[in-house]
Amino acid sequence: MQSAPGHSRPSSAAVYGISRLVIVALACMIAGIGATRPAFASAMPLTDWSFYVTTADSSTAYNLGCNQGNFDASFSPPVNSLVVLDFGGQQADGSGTKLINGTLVTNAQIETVAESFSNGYWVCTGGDTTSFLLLGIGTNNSFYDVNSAGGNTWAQVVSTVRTYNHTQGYDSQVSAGGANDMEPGYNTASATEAWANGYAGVNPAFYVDFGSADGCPTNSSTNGTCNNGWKQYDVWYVSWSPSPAQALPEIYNQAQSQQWSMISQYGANNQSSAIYFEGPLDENDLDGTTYTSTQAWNQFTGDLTNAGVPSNMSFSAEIHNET
Amino acid sequence: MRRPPSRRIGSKLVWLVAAAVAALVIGAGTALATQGPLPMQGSLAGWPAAKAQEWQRLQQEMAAARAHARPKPAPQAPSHQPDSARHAGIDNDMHQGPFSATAFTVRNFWQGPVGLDWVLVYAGAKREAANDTAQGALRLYNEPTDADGVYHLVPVGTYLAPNGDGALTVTAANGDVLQLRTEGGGVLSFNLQTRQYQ
Repeated sequence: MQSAPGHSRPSSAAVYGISRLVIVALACMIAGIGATRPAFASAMPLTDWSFYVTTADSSTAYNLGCNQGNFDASFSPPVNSLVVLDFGGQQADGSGTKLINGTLVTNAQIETVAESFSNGYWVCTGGDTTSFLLLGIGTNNSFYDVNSAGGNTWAQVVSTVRTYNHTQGYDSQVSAGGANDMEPGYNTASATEAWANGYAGVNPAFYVDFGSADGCPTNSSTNGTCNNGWKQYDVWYVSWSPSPAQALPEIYNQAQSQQWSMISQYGANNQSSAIYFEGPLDENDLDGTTYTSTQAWNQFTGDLTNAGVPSNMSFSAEIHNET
Repeated sequence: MRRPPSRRIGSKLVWLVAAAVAALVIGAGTALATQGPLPMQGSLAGWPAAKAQEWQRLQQEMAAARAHARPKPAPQAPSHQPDSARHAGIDNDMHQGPFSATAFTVRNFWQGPVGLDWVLVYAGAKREAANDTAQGALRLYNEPTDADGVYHLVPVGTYLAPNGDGALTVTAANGDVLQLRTEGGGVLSFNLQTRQYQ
């Protein structure tokens, strides 16, 4: 029998050897051996772009989602991504948000933007049906509605997007959740915790805290004080304690990396668990004096490792202006 | 050279085992490709049980969606919708911007036309985390509108106040000049055309 050019049939001994390897590999898969967290730090993934949303234009959102889909699908195997769309602080009446450029948008407009981004991603991954996008629909704790009702409202927005994405089939590759740029300087700890609990009460999916730990200690983890009356406990709580909470912290400089590492250590030593971070968020595109993605990754993994807390992360994110 | 029968039987067995294993691997691979990996962390080892369950739920939902994956249309962006009209003035409720409060604390905000530009001004204080200091400053952006009526945010710069009297607040706008108050009660102004304090 002829072999195809460039290929040769392996000998039976080789097949036997390969089959043994395959059997071992299969046994490992079944036993879950390959799924355990390695002891060493994970390699830096590709950096995904998150955005300060400045327009309710769904075409702009679709094109940005399409860009991310094209990007993820261009690798073999395809890669996954985590993107936050920051819609600014919520309005007092729960009707929408104020974007960072001062434009008021309704919840319906927010939903349409998130759905359009999802649509663009799903369509533009094309023949790739395995990559996925975790889409954080973001607000912050700087404005009104930073309370339980606000968290509840935001969860409803997320739920609406998830339902729509399901009806359109986008959810085969897009999982939409919430996100909140929770910063001590923006609001009180009690109000922000109430928001987190309000979101968790509905719990349509994850939410990502992509905020800061302003003023928190950089070299101790004994529930030290942070800015505006917050303590390490409060930052740990809103970014990890509620079951949907995940953390994608701002790592713009060394102090922030150390602050978050100490908060995770505080969680490990004094609460139920350390924080398993999704990755660092940088803003180098908007402020060239701050960490690049690589600097943020290396500093953060190093500080987490030094603190003796989990340092494996799946994503690297950088925030940009949408337009 | 002919092989002994036992070796040939052994060889056939090896091939049968290999084929069976290959089928299993292909099946498992297909199942994994259908379900995809866990949405976030590569492993949930060490996670609190409630959080691990959250991710397992998301994984199941995604797996269910992939089991009924739909054909994708060709890329086609929806048509543009022009942004809503902007209104010039001071916004005292605005405490956010396209930056972290760690780097710049916003006391209030002004936007309006300056010449042919639409200008956004974030008034407050630039903060230095390293030494926990803050200096009064304005952060300026232009926001032109494109042919589709969509706004674009263009950084202009950060302008530090000439004195160390704390964060700035915009109190009034007279033409192209912003009236400012410092945290310490001082008064100064900023010319948006020349981009200089007066």
